[in-house]
Amino acid sequence: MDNVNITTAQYITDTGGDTNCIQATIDGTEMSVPLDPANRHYQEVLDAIIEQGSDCFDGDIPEELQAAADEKQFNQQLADYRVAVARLAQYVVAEGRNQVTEMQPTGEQVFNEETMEMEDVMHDVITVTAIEPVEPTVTRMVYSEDDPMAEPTEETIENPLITTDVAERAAAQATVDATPAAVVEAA
Amino acid sequence: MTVKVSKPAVNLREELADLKKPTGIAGEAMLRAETPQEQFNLIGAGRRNLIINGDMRIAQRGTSANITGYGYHTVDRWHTIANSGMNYNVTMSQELIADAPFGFSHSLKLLTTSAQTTVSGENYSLRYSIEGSDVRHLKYGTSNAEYITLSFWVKSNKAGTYSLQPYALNTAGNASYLTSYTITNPDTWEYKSVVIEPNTKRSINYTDTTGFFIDFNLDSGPDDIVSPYNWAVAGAARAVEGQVRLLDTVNNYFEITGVQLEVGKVATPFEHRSYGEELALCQRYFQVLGGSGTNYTLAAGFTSGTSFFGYGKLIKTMRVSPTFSVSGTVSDFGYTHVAVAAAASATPYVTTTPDTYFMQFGSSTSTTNNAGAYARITSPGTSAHFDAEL
Repeated sequence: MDNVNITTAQYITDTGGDTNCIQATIDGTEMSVPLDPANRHYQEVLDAIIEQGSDCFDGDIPEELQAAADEKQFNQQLADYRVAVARLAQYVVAEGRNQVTEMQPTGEQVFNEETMEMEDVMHDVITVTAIEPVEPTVTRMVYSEDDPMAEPTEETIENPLITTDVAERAAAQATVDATPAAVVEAA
Repeated sequence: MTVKVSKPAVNLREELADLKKPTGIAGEAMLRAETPQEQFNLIGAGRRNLIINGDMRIAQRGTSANITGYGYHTVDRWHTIANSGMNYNVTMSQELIADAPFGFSHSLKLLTTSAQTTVSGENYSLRYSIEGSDVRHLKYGTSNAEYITLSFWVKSNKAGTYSLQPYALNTAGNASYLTSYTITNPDTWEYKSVVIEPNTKRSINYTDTTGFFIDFNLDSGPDDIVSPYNWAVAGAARAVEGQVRLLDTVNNYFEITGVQLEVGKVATPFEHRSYGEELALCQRYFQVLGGSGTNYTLAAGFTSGTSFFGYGKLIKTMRVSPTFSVSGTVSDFGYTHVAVAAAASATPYVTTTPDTYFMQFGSSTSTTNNAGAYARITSPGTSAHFDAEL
C-alpha cells in the first residue's frame, strides 16, 4: 500500500439525502472523494478503514463502505495467501530436489497373448528434474577499509542463496499462518 | 543480302553484381528487421510512445515542491514512491534546462535536501503508471508477447548503477522484471535505452486502472537488493546490487527527460507531440480549473440561504470520477447572486463524474433563496484540482 495519511473522512449527502462523496483529509489536504472504486483516493480511504478502523472516520463507518473495505481486505489476503503457498511449494535450495519419474504410455501398443488384449507399452518419464543442493557456505575475500594495501582475508559465510531462501520461506509461512480460515477456505 | 550485326559480349555475372540495391542505411535496417513491428517502428508509423509527458513539459500542479514521500507533486503523470512509511526530504521540480539534450526543453529533477540512510523495507523510486487498457497490444501472458524498449536522457551527480523495474499487474499475481542501467559520467546528460524481454508468463488487468508501471529506483534498503531477473512473480521495489543511494548526501540529484516506451527491440527517436496534444493527454488524469484572473467562472447554479449549489463541466472526460480539492485559499471560492458576492466559508463538497461536477458550499452571507447564481474563483493564486490519476 502506498503511504498516505487520512486523518478524517465523512460521508456527504445532498439535499435529497443521497450520498454524494466522501469528504476526507488526505495528507493534510481536504478532498471530495467520489464513490468510484477506480478512484485512487477512494481506495486509500478503504485502506485507511482496513488499517485504522473507525479512527479515520468522523462518526460510524457507513455499512456499504465497511463492506467494501472488508471485501478489499479479503481479496488482498487471498492474493497474499496464494503467493505464499506457491513460494512454500518451491524446493528448499539447501536440500535440493530429487528426481521424480513416472511410468507413462509411449503411444505404442502390443498384443498380450495371455490376456488376448492390446496393451500400452510403458516407459519411465522424468516428470521432475533433480536439482543438487547448493553449497552450504561460501568463502569471500574481505578487504580492509582502513588499509587498502593490506592483504585480504578469507571469510566463510552461509551461502546467500540459502539465507534468502530461508528468509523468504519464513515470510511466506508467516503469511500462511496469519491468514484467516475463511480466506484459506476460499483459496 | 546478309546483314551481320555484332554486339559486345555480356558477362551476366558481372552485371548482376553491379546492380545497385536502392537502399541506404535506413533501407538496410528495414531489410534487417526481424518483424513487421520493427519495420513499423523504423518508419515511425503510428503512435509509438506509451509514455505521456515523457519530455516533462506539462506541470499543472506547479513547477516545484518539497516532498516527503508518495504522490503526484509537480510534473504531470510522474509520481514518487516511498515504501514502508518512510519519509524523505526531496525537492521535486520541473526544470527549464539550459544544457538540455538536443530537442528537449524541460526535465524532471529530484534533489535530495536532507541526507538519510535507507533501511530495510524502504525504497525511494520515481514511477510512471499506465492504464491496463493501454498496454493490451503488448500481448503479455501469451507466447506472442512483445519486446518493449525504454529510452531516456538522464543526468545525475552520482555515476553508477541504477535499477529499473517494469511491473505488470494482474489479479492472479503480479509479475515484474528487474534490470539496470549505468550513468557513466556525473553531471552529464546521457542517453540510455533498455530492451525489456517479452512477458509470456502473466497477462495484465486490461482495465482503466493501473496495469503496468515502471519504477526508476533511486535508493533502496538492503533487503530489496537482488539479482536482475526476467519476468517473475515478485514484489515491487526491488533493486540490483550496486544501486546508487541518492538519499545519502544532500544535493544529490537525478534528472530525466525524453522518456519513451515503445514496442520492439529498437529505441527510435523520441516522438515529439504538440504541447496542446500532450496537455490534453495529461488532462485525462488531472485537470486544473482557475488559477487565472480574478473572476474565473466555475459553475452555474442557485442559492439556498447562505449556500450555493451548482454544476460545471470538466475540460475533457477523465479516466474515472476525479477527486476534488482546493489549491490555494478556500475563501477565494465564492458565488455571486445579482449584486451580492459571497465567499466560501469551508472547502466545497464536490460530487464528480468523469466529465461533470456538482459543487455545494456555504458562506456567511445570506442571499435570496432559490435564486440563480454562479460560482467563481476570485484569485489567480487559487484553483480547483480534479485528480483521476492512477
